[in-house]
Amino acid sequence: MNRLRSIKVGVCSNGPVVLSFASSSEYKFVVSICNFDKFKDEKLICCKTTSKTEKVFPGEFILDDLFGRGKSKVQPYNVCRIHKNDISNHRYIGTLDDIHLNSFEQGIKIAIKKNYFTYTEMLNVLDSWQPFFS
Amino acid sequence: MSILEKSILYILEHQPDNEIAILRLAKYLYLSDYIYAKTFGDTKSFTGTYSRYKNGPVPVKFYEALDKLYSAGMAVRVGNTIKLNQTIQLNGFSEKEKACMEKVMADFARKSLSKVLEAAYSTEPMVEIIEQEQSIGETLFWKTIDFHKIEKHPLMNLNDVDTSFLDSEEYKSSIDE
Repeated sequence: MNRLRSIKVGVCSNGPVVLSFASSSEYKFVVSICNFDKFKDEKLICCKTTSKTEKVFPGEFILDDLFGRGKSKVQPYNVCRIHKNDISNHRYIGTLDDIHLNSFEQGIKIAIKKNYFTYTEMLNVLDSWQPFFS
Repeated sequence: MSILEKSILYILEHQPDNEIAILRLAKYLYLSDYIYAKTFGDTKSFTGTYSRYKNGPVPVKFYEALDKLYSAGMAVRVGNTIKLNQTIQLNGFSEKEKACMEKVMADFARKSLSKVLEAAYSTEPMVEIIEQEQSIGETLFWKTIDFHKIEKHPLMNLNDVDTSFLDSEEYKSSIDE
């Protein structure tokens, strides 16, 4: 059985960072793609990950041996929303390198094109990625 | 009622005490239109044309729109602020337009007016005007703000993004439920 895994990737001023935490015995992690501070409703948009790593589709990427649990495939356009309370105790574990970042960006474009975000979410994601105002 | 007048009322409705300084209001309108153009690539600003005034971009019909709202009893001027006087049902906005105005209001709600002005001056059309002004040594009052100068956000170049694989059984089977 494949178990849902996820990691949190928050976009900070210096780019997406991985914030992660094994939140439960289900090994649920989430990849977020937006700056938490930008969200009035205190929700993060998150990308799910999967342990089904056989095929990597456009925009997806694999993180090796995440928390000692083997390969995890990040699916930026497989999105969900979590509340502020859900992210307590998550810890920073690193930043995405250029290769992963490019895939992540491609994944976000796919999510935008498929209208997976509300317009408000989309504007915040864009702003987190490259701020509208200097 | 024009979209500009409706936009003014929409912003007033979402302000504390339904009140906002006139200069801040003008900049909120501009920044909303700017985000709209940068995100959706529509360079025809939804509230109309803007000109370079003393303190940056202002809708060309801004003061005309305010006068209409005063005359209709929908808003009143109190010193340097505008106050909503009558709430009405506002129709005719797209969800995109609303999202842009709401984002600007949320992002700048606790920012000083100087920060709002900085943001307006950092936009591509205003940067170009300032450069022109510096080269000739005078302020280009009333110059039209050219929204065609706005560069689309890099994540919004979606023409080459192929999403057809998302409908494939192979992809669907790769998702954990």
